[in-house]
Amino acid sequence: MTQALGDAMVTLKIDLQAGFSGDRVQVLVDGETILEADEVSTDYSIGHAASAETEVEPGSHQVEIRVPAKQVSESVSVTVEGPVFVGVSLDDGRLEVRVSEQPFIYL
Amino acid sequence: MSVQDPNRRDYELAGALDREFSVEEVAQSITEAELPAEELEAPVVSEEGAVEGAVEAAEAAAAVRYRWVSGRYVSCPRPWELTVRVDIDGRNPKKKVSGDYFRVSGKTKVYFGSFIVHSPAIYVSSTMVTIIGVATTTWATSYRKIRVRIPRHYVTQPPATAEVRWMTLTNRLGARYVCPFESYYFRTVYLEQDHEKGISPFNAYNTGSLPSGGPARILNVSRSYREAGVDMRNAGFTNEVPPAPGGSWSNGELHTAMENHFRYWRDVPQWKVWLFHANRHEMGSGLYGIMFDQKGKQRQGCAVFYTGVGGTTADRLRLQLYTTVHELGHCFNLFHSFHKKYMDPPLPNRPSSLSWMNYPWYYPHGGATGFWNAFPFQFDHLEIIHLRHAFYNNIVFGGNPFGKGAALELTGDFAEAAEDESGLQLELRAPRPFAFGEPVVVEAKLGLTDLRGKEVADRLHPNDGFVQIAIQKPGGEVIPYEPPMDQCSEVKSVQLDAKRPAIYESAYIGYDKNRGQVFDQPGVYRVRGAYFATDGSIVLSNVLSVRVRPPLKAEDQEVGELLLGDEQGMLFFLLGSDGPSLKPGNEAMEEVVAKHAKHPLAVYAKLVQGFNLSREFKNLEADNTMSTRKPRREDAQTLLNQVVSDSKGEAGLDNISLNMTMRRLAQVQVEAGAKTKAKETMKQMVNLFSRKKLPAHVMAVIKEQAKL
Repeated sequence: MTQALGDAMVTLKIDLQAGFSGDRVQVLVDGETILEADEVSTDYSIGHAASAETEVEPGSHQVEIRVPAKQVSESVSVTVEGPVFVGVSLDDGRLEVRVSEQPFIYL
Repeated sequence: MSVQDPNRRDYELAGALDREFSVEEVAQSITEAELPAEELEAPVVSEEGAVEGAVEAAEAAAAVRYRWVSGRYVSCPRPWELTVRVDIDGRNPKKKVSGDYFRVSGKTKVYFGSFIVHSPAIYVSSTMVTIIGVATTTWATSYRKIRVRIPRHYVTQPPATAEVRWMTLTNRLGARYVCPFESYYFRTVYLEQDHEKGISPFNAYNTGSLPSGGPARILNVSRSYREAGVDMRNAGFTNEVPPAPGGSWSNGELHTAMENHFRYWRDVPQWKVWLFHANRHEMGSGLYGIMFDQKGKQRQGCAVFYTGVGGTTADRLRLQLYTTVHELGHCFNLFHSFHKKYMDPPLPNRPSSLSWMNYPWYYPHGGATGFWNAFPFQFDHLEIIHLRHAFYNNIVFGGNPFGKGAALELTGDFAEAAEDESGLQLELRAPRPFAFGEPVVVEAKLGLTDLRGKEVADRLHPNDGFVQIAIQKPGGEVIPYEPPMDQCSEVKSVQLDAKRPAIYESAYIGYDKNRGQVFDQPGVYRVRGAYFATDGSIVLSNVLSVRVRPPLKAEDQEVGELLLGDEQGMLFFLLGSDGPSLKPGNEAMEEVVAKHAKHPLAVYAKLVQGFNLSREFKNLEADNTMSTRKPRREDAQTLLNQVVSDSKGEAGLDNISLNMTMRRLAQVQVEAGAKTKAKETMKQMVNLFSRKKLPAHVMAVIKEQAKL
C-alpha cells in the first residue's frame, strides 16, 4: 500500500543482536543519531544487545551503524512502507545487517 | 537383535530414537591377543567353552537378553565419591565415559574435578564388558588411563556393579573404585514450575499432531530431557505468582520472583532449576522466553512468556514445548545453534542443526516450515554429549557463568560444597569500608543451622588453624592467607545450642607471612573463610567484599603510609613488641600518635602501643643476658582509655576488638591496684554494648566477662 507524504509515520526499529561485547555503538537514521550507547553487550540467552526505534515517513531512508573503537560501520538503505525491522550483528570485524518486515523474535 | 556387519568398524549410532544398540554393535571386535595379559580374568569363552570373538559373543547374546551397561554408577564415598557415566549402549549411545569426583569430609561434599573419555575401546565377552581409554581430566594427574569393567547381567538379574581402575599410560596401577549402579540416566535434575496468575502453563504436546521429523509421541518438558539421557523430575511444588508489577517482567523482577517463589533456590550449584510461565517481558511480545539468571550463581531459572507463545492450537502447543525445552537448555549452558562460536571456548556454529536450541525461522533449508517438517524434537549430537558428559561446573545449575566452558576450576578447600549437612554456618563481616592504611580486621561468626546443637572448637582466628582465609586482591590475584606465626594453644570445645547459637572472633588479616601487607592498595578485595570442624566437615563462609578507600587528604596518605610498613604489619599482628627488628615500625607508630593524634587511624597506633606497654617485655640479648622492660601501666591506661574513647561512635575499633581492649584495660587497672577503676571500666563496657542492641547470648557473654 503506497502512502502519500504527510501520511502517518511508520516504525523503523533497529535491533543490535550478536557479537557486541562492551562496545560503544552509534545508530543513525538519515544522519540523525537515534542511539548512542556505551558498554553494549549481547545477552546470548536471547541473542540481543540493544534496540533503537524511531518513526519515519514512508520512503527511502539511510540507516548507519557505527562501532568507533573497532573502526567498523555499515550503512544500508531501507525502503519503508510499513514497519521495518533491521537486525545488526558484529561478526569477525564486520557488521552484518538484515532487514525484515516482521519483528525479530527472541527466545 | 541385529548383528553389526563385522567388516564395518565405523557405524552410525546417532539420531535413532526408536532403536536400541547392543554393546556388541558399539564395541570394537576383539581377540584374546589384543587384551593385555592383566586384563584377562578368564578366557573369552561362550557357555559352550569355545574361545570366541565379539561377533560370536553377539550371536550367543542373541539367545538371551542382557541388561544395558550404560548408565550412572556411584562409588561409596570416603574420602572420594566417584560418579561414572557409561554411555556405550542403549538408546542413542555416544560412546563416551565420563565422571565427577567429590571429596567427602565429615558432613560436607565438595566438588573436586571431572573427566571424560572420548572414543574408548570396548571389549565384550558373554560375561564382561571392559572399557579402556585415556581420560581428559580437569586436574593434573599422571593416572589418566581408565579401565571400567562391568559384568554382564541378564534382565532378570539386578544391575551389575562397575569396577573402575586408574593407571598411568605405562599401566602402573592407580586407584580402584567399586561403583554400584545408580540409574540408567546420566544425570538426575529437579524442575520446579511456577506460573503467573492467569496463565495456563503448558502441559504436553503430541508430536504427531503436525508434520515432523521424528516418531509421533506425547512430549512434555521432562520426557524431552529424558530422551536426551537426563532424568528431569518434577520437584512437586507449584506456586501461582502475582502478576508482574507494571504488567511486564524485567530480568531483575524475574530474579526476585525466583528468589521468593522457587522453593529450592540457593545461591549454590545444585541440580535444581526453576521454570516460570509468565505473561509478558518488558521487551515486548517478541520475546518468547529467556534464561534471565545471569547474576550471582547463574542459570538457575528461566521464563516463558505466553503473550508470544500462548494458545491451544497444535502449532501453539508445539511452540510452547519448544520454548520451554529451549530455555531450560540455556540453564544447562547450551547456546543457540547459530551462536556456538560465541561460547568460551568457541565451537563452530551449526545453523542447520535440527535441535531444540535453533530458531526455526533461521533454518537455512526452508525457514520455519522446513525446520518443523524435519525436526525430530531432539538435541543435536554434540548437545546430547554436553548434557550427558560435560564437566560438572560447565553444566550444573549455578556452576560456571552462562557461556563459560572449561574455565578455571575452583577446587580444593575453597570450592563450593555440593552438600553441606554440617549444621554450621561461617559468616565473615566487616563493619564498614577501610581507610587507606587501616589494619583490616574481619569478624568471624560461627553459628548453628541445626539447633539440636554442635560441639565446636572455640577458636576462629586463622592463627589457631581451624579457620583458613583466602583473599582475592583487586587485580585478581588470590592469596591463601598465612598468619606470620602459627600458634599451638590449648583448644577448648564449646557447645553451641539454642541458648548460645554462635561464637565470634575478630581477626587481623592485613599482614601475610609470605607477602607482607595484603591490603596495600585502594580497591575492592574479596575474602572467604573455611572452618575445619572437628568431624572433618569444611564449612565455607560467604564471600565478603572488603573495600579499601583511597586517601582523601594529604594527611590520610601520610598516616596510611606510616601504618603500611612490614614492621608495622608485624606489630599489628603481635599487638606490640619491643623487638629491635621492629624498631622502624614502633617509630612510625610513635610518629602517628605524636603528630596525628586526632586522625581517625591514630586509634590503631595507640592500641598497639597501649597493649605493648601493658606487658613486660623480655629481651634476650646476643650475649645471652636477659633484659626486662617492666609494664608501664600508667602509660598503657592512658593510651587504652584513648582507644576506648575514640571507638565509642561509628569510628574506631570493631566491637570484638573494642571488647578485647576494654578487658585488657580493666586487667591493667587491676594490676596497677586500681580495682575500683577496673570495675568502672567493666560497667562502662556492659553499658556501651547494651546500647548496640546485640543478641541476648552475646550480652550474656559480655556480662560474664565483666565479672572481675
